[in-house]
Amino acid sequence: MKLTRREFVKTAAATAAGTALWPFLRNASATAAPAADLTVLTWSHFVPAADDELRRQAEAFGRARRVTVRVDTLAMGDLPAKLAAEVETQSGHDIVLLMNYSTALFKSQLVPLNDVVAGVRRQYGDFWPFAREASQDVGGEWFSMPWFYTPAPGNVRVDYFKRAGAPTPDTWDSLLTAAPKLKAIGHPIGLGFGHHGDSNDWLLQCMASFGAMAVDNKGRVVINSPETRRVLDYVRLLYNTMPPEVIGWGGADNNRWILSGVGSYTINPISIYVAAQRDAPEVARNMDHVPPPAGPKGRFSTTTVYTLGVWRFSRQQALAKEFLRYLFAPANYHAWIEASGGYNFPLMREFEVLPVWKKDPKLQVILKFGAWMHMALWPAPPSGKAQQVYDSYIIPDMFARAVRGASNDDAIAWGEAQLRKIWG
Amino acid sequence: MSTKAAPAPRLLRSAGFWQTSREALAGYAMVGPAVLLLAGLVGVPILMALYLSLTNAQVGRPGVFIGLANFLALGRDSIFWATFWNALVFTGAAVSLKTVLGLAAALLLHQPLVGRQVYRGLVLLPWIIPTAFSTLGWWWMFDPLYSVINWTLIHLGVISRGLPWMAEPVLAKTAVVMVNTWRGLPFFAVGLLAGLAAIPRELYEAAQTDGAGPLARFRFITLPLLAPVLLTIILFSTIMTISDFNIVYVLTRGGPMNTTHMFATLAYQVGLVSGELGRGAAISLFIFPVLLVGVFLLLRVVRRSEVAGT
Amino acid sequence: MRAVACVSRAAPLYLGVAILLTFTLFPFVWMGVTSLKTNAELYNIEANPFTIARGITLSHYAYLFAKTLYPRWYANTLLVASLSTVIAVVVSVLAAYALARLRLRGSEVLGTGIFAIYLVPTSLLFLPLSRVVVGLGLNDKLWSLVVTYPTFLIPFATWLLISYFRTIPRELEECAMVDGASRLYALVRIVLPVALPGLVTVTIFSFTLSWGELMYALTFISSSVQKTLSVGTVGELVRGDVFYWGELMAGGLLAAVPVAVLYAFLSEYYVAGLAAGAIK
Repeated sequence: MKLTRREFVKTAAATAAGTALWPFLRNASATAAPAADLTVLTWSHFVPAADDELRRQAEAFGRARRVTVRVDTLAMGDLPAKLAAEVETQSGHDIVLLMNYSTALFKSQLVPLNDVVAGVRRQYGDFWPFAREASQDVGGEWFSMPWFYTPAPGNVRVDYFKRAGAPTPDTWDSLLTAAPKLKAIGHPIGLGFGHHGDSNDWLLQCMASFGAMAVDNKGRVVINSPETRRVLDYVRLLYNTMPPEVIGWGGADNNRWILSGVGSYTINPISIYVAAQRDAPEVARNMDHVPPPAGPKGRFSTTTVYTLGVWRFSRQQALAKEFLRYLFAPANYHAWIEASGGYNFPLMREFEVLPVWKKDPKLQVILKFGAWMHMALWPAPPSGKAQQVYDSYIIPDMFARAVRGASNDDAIAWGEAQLRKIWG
Repeated sequence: MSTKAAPAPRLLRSAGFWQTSREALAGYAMVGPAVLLLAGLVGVPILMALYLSLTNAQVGRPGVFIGLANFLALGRDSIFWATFWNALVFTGAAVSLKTVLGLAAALLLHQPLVGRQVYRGLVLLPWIIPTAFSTLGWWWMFDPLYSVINWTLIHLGVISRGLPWMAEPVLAKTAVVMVNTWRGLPFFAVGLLAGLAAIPRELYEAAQTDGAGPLARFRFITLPLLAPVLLTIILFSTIMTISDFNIVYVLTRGGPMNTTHMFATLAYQVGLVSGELGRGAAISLFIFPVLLVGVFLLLRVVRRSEVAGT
Repeated sequence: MRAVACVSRAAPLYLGVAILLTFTLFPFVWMGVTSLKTNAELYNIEANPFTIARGITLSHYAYLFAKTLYPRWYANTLLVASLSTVIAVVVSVLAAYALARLRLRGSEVLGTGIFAIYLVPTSLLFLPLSRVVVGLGLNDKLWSLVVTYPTFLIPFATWLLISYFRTIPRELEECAMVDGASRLYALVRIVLPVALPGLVTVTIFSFTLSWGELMYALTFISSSVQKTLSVGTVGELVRGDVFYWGELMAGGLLAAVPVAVLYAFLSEYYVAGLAAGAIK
């Protein structure tokens, strides 16, 4: 009995190993990826078709130039570690995705792209100021190519607001008026405070619309202001109408909040709508997109700006620049935007209104976002320090403290201390 | 002599065995591969990391030497001390739970039950499944909207309203410890099972003839003979738990408000996400002295238990 | 090996096993159910998480195999884990034997040193190590993992094997060597069979840790065809703020169950070997 089982295990293990290893053993080169001339690192787009289109374009470019281009994707959250490793080892991809102020952070490692940008500007016209902030340094040199951004409108359950007897919110004040009513009918609003870009974004844009700033345009920490106190008071009131778990919300939680049918409002790019059309049609039917709420000092929005950079250690800098030009050829750029379902939004002031946006009235509002958009820490000068503030989640943490009981003075003192550690 | 429990590896004294110089050479050759591999792929990076922690390096910018400034700054950082405390509490709680439950599981699986082989395979599942998947699953199970845990507890009548797992620091910490225990339990169960299997039956039979009950047999035979294996497993589980990254990162990202950070996740957030490599390296290196102290204490216990056991 | 015959004695034991299995397995039951649910039902908060009301769907599994490189990642991980385990076990057996049996100068330092290495977490090492890996020309090759994984497998394996080797009486090898056998022969033919439980434990441990490793795999490997299970699946199925839950859970289950089946066989195997009277 013992012997036969031993034999069985041995045979089974050998068979399994053999089956798995056979293709590798048979063709040794199968273990290695084919060496590519040009490699690109980007995120795994939530609309897989966008990645497919990107790869298709890479292949077409490769065929035309007789080179191989490889596009690697990874989960967004793993990007910082990957970029750090590539910089540390001075090896890796040629073209990489950069977000927000990362261009400033990595400036010394990036190839200037003035010529490529000039060509794109000739084709499309100028970029928005906030896009320039993402890619240019203070001297006006371009260190990355503005690629796209994802406008984050208010996502509204129109039917719940109607049921609660409140108009769809256009200002922060009207949101605050509506929120308790929505809570009363069991469909509260939801905005997160956890360690994620989404939390940074909505809180920073709220601050901006009240005239509060973390850092001014000279790089001085100015968070201690009456405006900040106003915002803290406001957010405290808003928090009380939300479920307590928003304290820990990351990026996907507000999506699920709406998709479950429970939530009535959040601020998020159109990824919720797109997912709803597929998985929760009733939600998709009843929701709409509205501009970001306006405050006493205006209507502000901030969300991640994506740019493409070329590492200085790349041995294919000329080819990389050519590929960037290729991606921005109108046919390709538009095809890629279409493939993303309209989620990827151009950073130029003037752009063609593509069919993908025209066909759904619920997507119309994102066409106007350019005028409201700012970089996250605006008006702080773009620098690695701004990215550090963003990535350390100082703002969400400060607000989280306040809504959980800290006084305005304590919260601001804490936030100020953290900011000064970075900005001095 | 053959039934004596294995002395702790610390006491690497052989008992009167004369080596020829050729054997000594063979000995060094046998240890060689391990030493080379570890020196090159761990030793060298450790030194590099040590140097990194003494600079103000940032991602993309090699820093300058600043001595112990990073460590001193950490000493003044309340989030760091909260993390330090978390590491101790989480590890202590999780390892204690795993020890108790693991021992119970090993004892159960040691019994000649029908289908024992199947149980042993099944019990290993939490440990086999890559943490990347299982922790995502747990995250969904704790999510207040869909929480399976809440649903089950409500339907069992234990609670009336769902618990906000990820919003309350205490609950979040409990969740982390729970997932850690779930994941590590098989390691204890299987390791202790091997240890139990090594205890000769004759001892139990002899004790039984002498009239010892099951509790006495456990106390005087099982535990002492299991002690070295048990302590080795506790040791390594402690190391794996305190340096865990995946569970905290996926479950809570260190939140809410930095209350559930462990060394590895804080180091990641500071070093890689915020880009302060030097400071991040300093945080990671803090695990070292903490573990060293813990290991030292644990080995003291081992040595004392051995002396008592003989 | 008498089966526990008396019911009243057996019942609490089986109850204990039931509780144990419930605790360890209910997430898997949930994962299994989730992997077979339609997306619409997944997002329905009213739904019972343990049952499927709106029909079972195999689309998640189909997506995994058709639209992602899951089988390739599976093969990659199998290859890496197997090779790493073999390397780690061989190296550890040699090192442990030398440290346990042979009176080497500095063996205590070596032993402690090997153990101390284990105190250093991969989350600290991966960045400086990536420089070493690139320097060795192993960037984006699976070999980088095969070479680096043993570094966190060897310390524990060596320690455990030292412990096991010490329980084996020296007389066993002494007899063989008196008869003219070399040390190595004695090791392979005499000691190893007796230390089998330790070997199997160490093998299981090494394979499992390699199987689920994430940090190094993420850092050293970039191209999709080279990715391991964890990196590839999570990277492809966590897209921004959209999680492909059904596919993720399906991927997780498939990554766990076959290995568990294999282990189940192994566990009986080494205990059977034990019962054959190898250790006296």
